[in-house]
Amino acid sequence: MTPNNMLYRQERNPQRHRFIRSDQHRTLAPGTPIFQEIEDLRNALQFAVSLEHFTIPPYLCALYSIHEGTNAEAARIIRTVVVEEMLHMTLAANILNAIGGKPHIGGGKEPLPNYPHEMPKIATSFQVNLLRFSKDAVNTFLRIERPAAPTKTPKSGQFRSIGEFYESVREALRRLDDKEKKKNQKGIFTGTKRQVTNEHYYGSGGKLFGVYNLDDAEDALDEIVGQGEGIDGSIEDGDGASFGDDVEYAHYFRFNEIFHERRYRPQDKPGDAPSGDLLRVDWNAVYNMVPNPKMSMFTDRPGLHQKARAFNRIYTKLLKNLHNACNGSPEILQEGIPIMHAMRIAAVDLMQEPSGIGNYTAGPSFEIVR
Amino acid sequence: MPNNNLITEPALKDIDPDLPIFLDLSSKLTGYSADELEQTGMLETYYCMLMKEDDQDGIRAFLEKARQVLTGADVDDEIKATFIDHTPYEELAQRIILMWYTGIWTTMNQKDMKPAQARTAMISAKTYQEGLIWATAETHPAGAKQPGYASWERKPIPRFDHIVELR
Amino acid sequence: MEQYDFDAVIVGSGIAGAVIAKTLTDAGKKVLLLDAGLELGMALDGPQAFQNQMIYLDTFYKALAKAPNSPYPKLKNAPSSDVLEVQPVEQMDHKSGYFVQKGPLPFGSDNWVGPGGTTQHWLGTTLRMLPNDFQMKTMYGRGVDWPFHYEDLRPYYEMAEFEIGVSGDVADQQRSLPNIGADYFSSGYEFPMKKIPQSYLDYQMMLELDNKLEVCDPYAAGTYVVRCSSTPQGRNSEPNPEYGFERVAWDRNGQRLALTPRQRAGYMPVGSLWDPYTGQRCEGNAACVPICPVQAKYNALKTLKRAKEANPYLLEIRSQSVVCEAIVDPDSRRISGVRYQRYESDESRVCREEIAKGKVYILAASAIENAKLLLASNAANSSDQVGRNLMDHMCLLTWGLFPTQVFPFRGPGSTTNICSFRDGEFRREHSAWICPIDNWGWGWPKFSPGSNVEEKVANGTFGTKLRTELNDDLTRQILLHFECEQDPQPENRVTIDPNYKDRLGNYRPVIHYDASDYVKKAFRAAKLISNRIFEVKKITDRTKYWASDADYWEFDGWGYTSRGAGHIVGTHRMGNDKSDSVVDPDMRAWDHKNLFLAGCGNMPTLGTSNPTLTMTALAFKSAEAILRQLED
Repeated sequence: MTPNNMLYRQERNPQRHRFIRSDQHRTLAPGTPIFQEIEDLRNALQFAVSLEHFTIPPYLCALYSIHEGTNAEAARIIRTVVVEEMLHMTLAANILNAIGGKPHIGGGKEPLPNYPHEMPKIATSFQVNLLRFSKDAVNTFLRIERPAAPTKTPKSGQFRSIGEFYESVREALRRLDDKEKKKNQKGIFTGTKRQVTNEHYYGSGGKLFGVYNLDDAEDALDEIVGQGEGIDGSIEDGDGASFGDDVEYAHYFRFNEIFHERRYRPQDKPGDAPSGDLLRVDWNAVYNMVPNPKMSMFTDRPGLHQKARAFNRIYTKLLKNLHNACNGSPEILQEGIPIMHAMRIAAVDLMQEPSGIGNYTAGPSFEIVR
Repeated sequence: MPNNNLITEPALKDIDPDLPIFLDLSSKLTGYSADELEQTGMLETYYCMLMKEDDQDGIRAFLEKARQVLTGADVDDEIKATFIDHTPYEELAQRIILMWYTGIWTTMNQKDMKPAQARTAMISAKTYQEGLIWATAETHPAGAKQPGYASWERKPIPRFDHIVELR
Repeated sequence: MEQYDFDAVIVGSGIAGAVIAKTLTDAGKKVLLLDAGLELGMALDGPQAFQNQMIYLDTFYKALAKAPNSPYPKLKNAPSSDVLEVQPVEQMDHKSGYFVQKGPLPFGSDNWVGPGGTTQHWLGTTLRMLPNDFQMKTMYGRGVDWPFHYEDLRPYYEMAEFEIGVSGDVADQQRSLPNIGADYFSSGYEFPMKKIPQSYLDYQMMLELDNKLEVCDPYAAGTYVVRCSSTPQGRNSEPNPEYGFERVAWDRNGQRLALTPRQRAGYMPVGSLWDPYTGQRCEGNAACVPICPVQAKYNALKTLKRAKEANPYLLEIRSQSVVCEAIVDPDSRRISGVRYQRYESDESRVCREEIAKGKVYILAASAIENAKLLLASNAANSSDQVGRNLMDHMCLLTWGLFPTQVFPFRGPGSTTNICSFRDGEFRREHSAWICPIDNWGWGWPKFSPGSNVEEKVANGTFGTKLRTELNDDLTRQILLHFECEQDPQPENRVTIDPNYKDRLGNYRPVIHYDASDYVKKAFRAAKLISNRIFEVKKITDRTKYWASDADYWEFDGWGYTSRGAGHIVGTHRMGNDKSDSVVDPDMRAWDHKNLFLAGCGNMPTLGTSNPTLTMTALAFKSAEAILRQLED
């Protein structure tokens, strides 16, 4: 571990939902797809980048639709989750870079999502929509982040859950690195020059770090999985309570607090609904954004269409910035900050204009434009 | 498919035929398109300021005149001749332009016999933030809609693309 | 031996009071801090702190005139001055407002009385004074010398830069500042954070100007090269991994304060009161004066918060407590207590009078309030200097239109300054000046951008023409302010008069104020240099001074308008001799051994830097002396 990594990871809050990770070789559940060769693993990590990316537009739509100055707590929760998803995306890109791959963000090997869309590769039966902040939206977020094992039987090539997918990634990293180390000291970790680290990305709370070896890669996976979904659905109770001021909750539980409009108490169990203080939510203090906006909805309104396209141009610019940052120019990540702010402003402008479709206003469609 | 219809009061523009007139006239007076004005989200708020004026006869006459001009010939010349060139309608037209640009409204209501200064006020925190003057200056309202760390080191990302075409 | 509840009683919760409170409690002393503002406003974290900020912001958004005090409560029991009250003296009605302006020129600056003091609305610029600023009499035959040198204050400047959290570039300072010598910064010193990025506008201005243009001064021989420097400021930016310090600690054995070296390199920016992850970086709100919505800008409540967290039982903060007298014991000549009026609510003048006692007393209520309090108490004035030598930076503003778009109204108020005239032989003849390049267009002199649209609309401009003309105009606005050092004059003073009292029956400051020829010559010299800069940069000059402006004068056939910078200093100055100073080099009152004065009032000269950093350094210096005295 490089000294840089040690510094920042020591400063992270140690009290987090720790999903059970064994340092021994765990066996994957029978039927879990395996990433056989290094190229399969690289593709898998590219998929991880795309998967994290996929969750961001729905979260942002909900966040942007909240009237400024209202729902402060809910907005803060969603905003933190977005920041963490971007962190996950970058960590996945770091791992991919480290094992000699090239991340694609916003094009190339990354399939362009078209909402509504099912979660790719995960055995689920729900669609992910671009919705204004609402119970429906939060319910979708819960299902995306769900740690509980689903009951649906996965098809061939599908995973039961996101956690299971990352477990398979972990297995492949260990197996392939181990095999490669017999020939070459670095193992599979040959591409460590293009890492994006904490100094390039402020606001990550010290959680972003470069990946230079298997330990780092596993820590990166811990970071991704620890904040997101669990492996087998349980949370380590350990010494601390599952909930409380000192614990950083997995995304699922933060969304659950919004959904039930209550906070967790330390004595709540993960399977319970939160039973603590009220968390004030005003479901009406939102823009009435049309579900799943598309530029094509506004072709008969040239001014609106132009604005919808303008948002997408800014979004595309952000993806290009992230892509370049993860492909050898991490220092330009800083230029992404004004782009993200401009995105928000353009999105709210759209949500303030009537769409011409019923009572709905327009909204950002997150389409990539060339 | 999610059921997302909010409280369905009819949109103001569906029940008050003067509202679209107000929007189109505002567009001509401010130099911003109707879409851009709607994107501020302030259309109904500003229209309501007119509706709260005591002199409703005057307001209605003003809007009727606007309807005639907007549906007539040589709209741009007629706008100038009717609402700007030292006509009786000029004063209200100017107050409307300033309202869109700054979020500030001057009422002519004589109630309470307030001094002149007290009749001019920022309508709300939101109208301050949505004032067009900021986008016109290719910036953001001071203290709000912040563009992010180091944004001032580079050229700004304009809110309305139209500005770029005008340069 | 008399028993005291407190080791120290501090009056005022601005940066000076906060720094001394924190330093004393960190060293194990028990401190009572009295603040005149609202108790709710003193919330140091959690939902109430967030709520306060939201209320201030809402007030600010709705204010028609975005003056420095516009977001904050205007209390009748603890009044603050307001720049909006400043008019030509002849027109002023002394019944209203707070300052009683006797003239001949109105004093053009304000400050704020309340939790955190003026650091709530300050811009955040943190410049050190220059070595020659401390020796004006010796070097230039002007003003007075400080009772110590720059080098004596240097370690305390480092403490101040730590406490505030300064973003800056040492190498840039070393390259540009005039006459600083090799030891201006201690060897290897770095600021806690890297410089705040300079603005696009700055870069356009600096082309062909910085280190290129030579200008003349009508009062001094030779030519001067214009040099620009990035401006260090108390505003969060990227942490500097080379920054070497962790905290200010009291070394009991050595009886001194010192910065402790950091175990691990790097610095953690201090965010907002309510959430540490908000305000980690400046986000370009461009409203520093009067308020930073995310609190990326330092304010003194951050220091009080850290003090309270570290030593909750040693620091007591009492709000809604207006100190009206420092009680002098007629026999011992020591201060035996401070009397204060504790009000229930600002709705009424009903209050309870109480007396606070401590081993030592520290007045940190601001330069004007400290002076007023001392005069009201008949204290500390055997030198007759209390209230005298009131100084400010008198600012000459010049403005115009740049030939191409520079996109002002963005970023912090100023990120670059012209520093060539901060020191030099010309100081024998006229004030030194510093010229910050302003990032906010013509806001200060002309209330742009609002005034621009009002003017054009009143002229009959409308529609697309209005939009394009405004765009063209606003995106090219340039403003320079030449901030001139005022020389100490005994007749520039704060006094009290029983005819002028506030609602609680406390004195309103009565101010006598004028500009000497020393300043007026600087205005003339600066205007000529501004003209030259505008000429070289092809800036269309739009500067206009009106005889009807509040601080207007004519000099050598030309009219000039001056504006106050809000840098209020000098009213209880330090010295080596009790006959012409109020406090000794430790800022202890000559007349009362258990009374210390804190804040800008201690400064014998102003130099060309914003005084906050210097007075914070002085606060650490006197805290050290207070600790020595307490442990004696």
